[in-house]
Amino acid sequence: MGRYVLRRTLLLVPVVWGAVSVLFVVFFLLPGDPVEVMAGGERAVNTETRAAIEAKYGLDRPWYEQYGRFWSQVAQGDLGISFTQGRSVNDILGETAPASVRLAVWAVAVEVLIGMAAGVVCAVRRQTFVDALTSVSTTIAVAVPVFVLGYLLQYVLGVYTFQHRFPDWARFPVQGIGPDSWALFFVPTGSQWRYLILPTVTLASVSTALVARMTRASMLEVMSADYMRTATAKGLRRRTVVLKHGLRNALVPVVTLVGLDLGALMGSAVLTETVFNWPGMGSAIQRAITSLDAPIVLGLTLVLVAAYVVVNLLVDLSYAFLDPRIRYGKPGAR
Amino acid sequence: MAAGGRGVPSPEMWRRFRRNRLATVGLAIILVEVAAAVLAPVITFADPGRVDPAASLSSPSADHWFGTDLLGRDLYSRVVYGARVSLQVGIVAVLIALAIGLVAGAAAGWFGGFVDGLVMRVTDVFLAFPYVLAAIAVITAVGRGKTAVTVVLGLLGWMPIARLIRSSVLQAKQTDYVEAARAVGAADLRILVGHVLPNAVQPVVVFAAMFVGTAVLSEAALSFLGAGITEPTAAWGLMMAQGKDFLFTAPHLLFFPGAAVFLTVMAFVFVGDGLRDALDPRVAVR
Amino acid sequence: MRRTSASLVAILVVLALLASGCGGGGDDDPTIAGRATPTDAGAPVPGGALVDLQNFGASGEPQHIDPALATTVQSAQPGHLLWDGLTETDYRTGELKAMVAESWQSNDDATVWTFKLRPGITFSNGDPVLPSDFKYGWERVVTRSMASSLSYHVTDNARIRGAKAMLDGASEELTGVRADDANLTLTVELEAPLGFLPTLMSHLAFSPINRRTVSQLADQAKYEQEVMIGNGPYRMAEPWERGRSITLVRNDTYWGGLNGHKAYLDRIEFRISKDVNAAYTEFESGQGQTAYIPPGRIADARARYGRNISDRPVLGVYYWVFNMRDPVVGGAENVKLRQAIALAIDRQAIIDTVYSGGRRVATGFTPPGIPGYQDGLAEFTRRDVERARQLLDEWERQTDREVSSLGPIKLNFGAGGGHELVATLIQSNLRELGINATLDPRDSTTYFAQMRRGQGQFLQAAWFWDYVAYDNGLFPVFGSAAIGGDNLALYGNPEFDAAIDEARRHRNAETAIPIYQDAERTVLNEDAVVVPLNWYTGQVVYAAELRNVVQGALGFLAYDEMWLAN
Repeated sequence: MGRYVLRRTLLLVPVVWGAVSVLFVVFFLLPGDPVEVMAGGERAVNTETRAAIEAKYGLDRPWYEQYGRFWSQVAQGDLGISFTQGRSVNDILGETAPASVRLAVWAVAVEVLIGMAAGVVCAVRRQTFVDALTSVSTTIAVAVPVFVLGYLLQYVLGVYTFQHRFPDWARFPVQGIGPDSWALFFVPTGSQWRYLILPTVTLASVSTALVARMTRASMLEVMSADYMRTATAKGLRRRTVVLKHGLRNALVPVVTLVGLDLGALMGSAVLTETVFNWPGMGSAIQRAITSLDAPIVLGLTLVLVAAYVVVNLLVDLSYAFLDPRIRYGKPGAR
Repeated sequence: MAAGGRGVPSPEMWRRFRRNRLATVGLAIILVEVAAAVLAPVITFADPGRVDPAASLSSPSADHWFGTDLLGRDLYSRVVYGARVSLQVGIVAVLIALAIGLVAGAAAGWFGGFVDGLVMRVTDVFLAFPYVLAAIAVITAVGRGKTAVTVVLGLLGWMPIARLIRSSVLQAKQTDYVEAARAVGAADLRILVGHVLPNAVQPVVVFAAMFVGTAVLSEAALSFLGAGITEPTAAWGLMMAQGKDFLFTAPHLLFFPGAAVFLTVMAFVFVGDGLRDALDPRVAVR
Repeated sequence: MRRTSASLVAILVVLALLASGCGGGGDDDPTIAGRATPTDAGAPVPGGALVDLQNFGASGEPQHIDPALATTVQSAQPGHLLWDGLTETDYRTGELKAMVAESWQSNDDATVWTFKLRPGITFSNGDPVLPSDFKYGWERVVTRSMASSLSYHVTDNARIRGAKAMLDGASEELTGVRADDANLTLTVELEAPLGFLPTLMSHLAFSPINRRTVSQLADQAKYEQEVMIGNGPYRMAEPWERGRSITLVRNDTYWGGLNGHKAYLDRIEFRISKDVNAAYTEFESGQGQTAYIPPGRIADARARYGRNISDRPVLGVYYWVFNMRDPVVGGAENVKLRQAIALAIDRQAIIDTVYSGGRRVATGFTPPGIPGYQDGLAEFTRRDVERARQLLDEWERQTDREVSSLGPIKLNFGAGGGHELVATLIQSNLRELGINATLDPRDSTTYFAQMRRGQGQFLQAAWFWDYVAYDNGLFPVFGSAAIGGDNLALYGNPEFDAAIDEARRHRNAETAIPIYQDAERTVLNEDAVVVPLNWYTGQVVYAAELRNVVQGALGFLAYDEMWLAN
């Protein structure tokens, strides 16, 4: 097991290196001129200004020197200086990462709780009204673009309820992260939850639907297995059979999905972050791409990719605990 | 097409597919859309690009069934022509993903060793990228437009196909008939194409159906983020992105292209489900 | 910066109704009739906090807010509240007013200027504002390591002696400026005559900077990130929260400025938004008191918020310009083709659809509000397809080319700013003349860089006046010195350049005006370089409790004049 973990961990290095290097190449192919953007975009840049900016950021060096400098800085824990903001990417990471992590974790919590509950109920009450309703609503959740859902929530629970003088509890803020006050890092305090809830629901919608569908399918498969029949035959209560024996075994594919999601949601929340002006990493990277701010893009992507692969590894390792039949360490097992 | 034959359509599969009523509905929707896309000039009455400032933001009426957009263009025509764009983007993107995924997955599974390691690491690299951000970065580099969006969606979507193919190939390699074919000296490529790949068809077909729906959604998302298809192309995503600003004043702008996207995505999900039932008898228990 | 707008038409309609005496009818609209004016705003109430969604709601996160670096109206807005310059543009009238400078004078050929400063003015940290603070502020702008894109105001526009040398790194001091702190005089020596230097001094880049607070920082670029110290009606209370907000509080030590009072609002939080529509939605859900109205929402906003909309004209022009070095549309031989294109475009239709009736049809480049403005300078602004056809016929005969064989003309614009809709309309207008055109959208962040390199053909642009002077719309936009810069037409006409140089010598603005007008006519008509489409108006909506909302001609809002009614 130990050797397996070590081997897998070492394999992460080329993945992270490769992903960031690909981006580095893409950035060198970009048609734009970062100096123009840095200098304000619409105004002219005189040659003196250009020279000064290029010297300040090392843009006058050949690409391989810039590439080498990037990694040697990273090795020292320094992600560089943003072109457009003139400050450390580490600082920008420190501001955006908590917002992303919090939103992703809450979205995953929603998808696990609601998605799995719905999936289990549908599997147990197959072919009933509840099953059909869930099936329809999960399909809708998948087929409606995230930004449309976000706007609808904003209009109904933000604008409409405000303009029609609904009580305060029905009015939600539609933009921003609000007071940014949290206890134990994840728990919103004060009015913070009001800012959190709409983005969370929006971000979680698609994944919740997928988790529900997958839990249902997985449960159905597991419930037709012999050991389930045995358990039922032994006279155990149905609830015990379903939850203890069924769910646990059905969990493996669901955990994969949720795990992948946790890793992916931090970077893929761009749409939600844009609709709600949530100050996360995804939208910071998006802005940086359009403003050709390579240090922000490279630095934050590096962190996102690293987070993604580490979470993935943890998910793989968790299989061993969920399904006793899976054991790591045997060569060629995967 | 000798071995297994699980990838070959059969009357039995069609029967199983049809038993899933939603899948039949989905297929019908897709067929209608394909027909609309092909027949667009016949079934519309206005040039989708013709502007008419005087008719700006008209509500649906007998003249303009779906109303008009900000520039007074007929929304019905634009939605119908949009089917061409969306189906093209979805289908070409899936073909690109299939081509890359097939080659990469087959090579990894068949040759194993170093090739396998390399392909799987590249797959990991592509999977590790935040999908939307990678698409925006590439589109920023090559310029917006239909071709860029299509290629990017294909380039970022092949990894699951490669993994599916690889594991099918690995399984098939263990089987007796491949061993036998090798023993009689059949060429690698022939074995691969004739015996191994047909076994991989089933999961890949299901994935591909879903993929088309995802691609249509992704086009909308990219347009919303300002990295999608550009004017004056009539693309659903672009229409939705413009229409979202008129949610209260002219809701038809978002509704009609939105409904088109919704129906398309749903149809492909249903068809994907139906194909799963049809191709895999084990789960056809509904 | 991009701003859009509308309800001049509404005002005109109301005025017409009132003038013709039919205001007493039964179909009176109380929401329009009761438009808020400063007089019915009541007595000022000090106190209260304002959440502003219009400034960075319309433009998004600024790159810089440091007065030496802020290049857009929105990014300069906080600086305008934090600093008073030597001179300032009056919000209401657009007139130049003395601020920290009490008086000024120049030598006969306008190359040496002396400013006398008011005594007793202090920074918000208590330090006095002295001539050397101005000198230091200007030196910062041309300091090489600042890499400011505003440096051209000091080097090429004002042409202060020694500025180029500082920017080159050859000198540590702005030698053309003498600061006599004991006598509160500031003497500025220029390399070329400039009659309107006092007007140029109203630009934020010429603000005084408190050296003590800057020198404490290891990295000068961090100044704006932390707490900047100025001498204006507001002060920065906390560091800039990236992606969220910039917050200012009232400067209680302020000297009162021209209006003789401190600011009313205790606190202004400039919220930063990603998207103008999102910020407007935030306003609509009651999360702030001001917002910029997105183009598609103007009609709706007028119906809902009626009198709480500020839509004064601002000094900005939205225009399309030809690449004069392009073989298809550029050059002297294609003048008639360009004139025909200018005549074909339906400006009112663009305003009615894309900008919901906001903005005014531009009848020239220079907008009303600039001293010397003259209506109808441009000959080819009224749509006239017949005349356009005639001109095309003449062009065909002259050049031996045919409209039908003209390759598609590229309409270039930065993607995402609503320009594609304008381009689509232009494309449809040109089709009526048989001219084939294609849309050529470019990435918006790099669009202008590409156009500067001559990659465009018929391209979109906008210009906002930095200060109220005729020169500001000509010298940096059409002068050959600005090729590679803001001269996106790559237009180089020695006669035009000579005329501008001549006009800049005039100390009396009045005598310079005819020269500027002639130069503008050349650009608009004889050479047909530019097709102005519309002049901007403000589009600010505000909550009912916010009073005395005035948007100045340069696009800045007079936050120090607003208050919140109870």
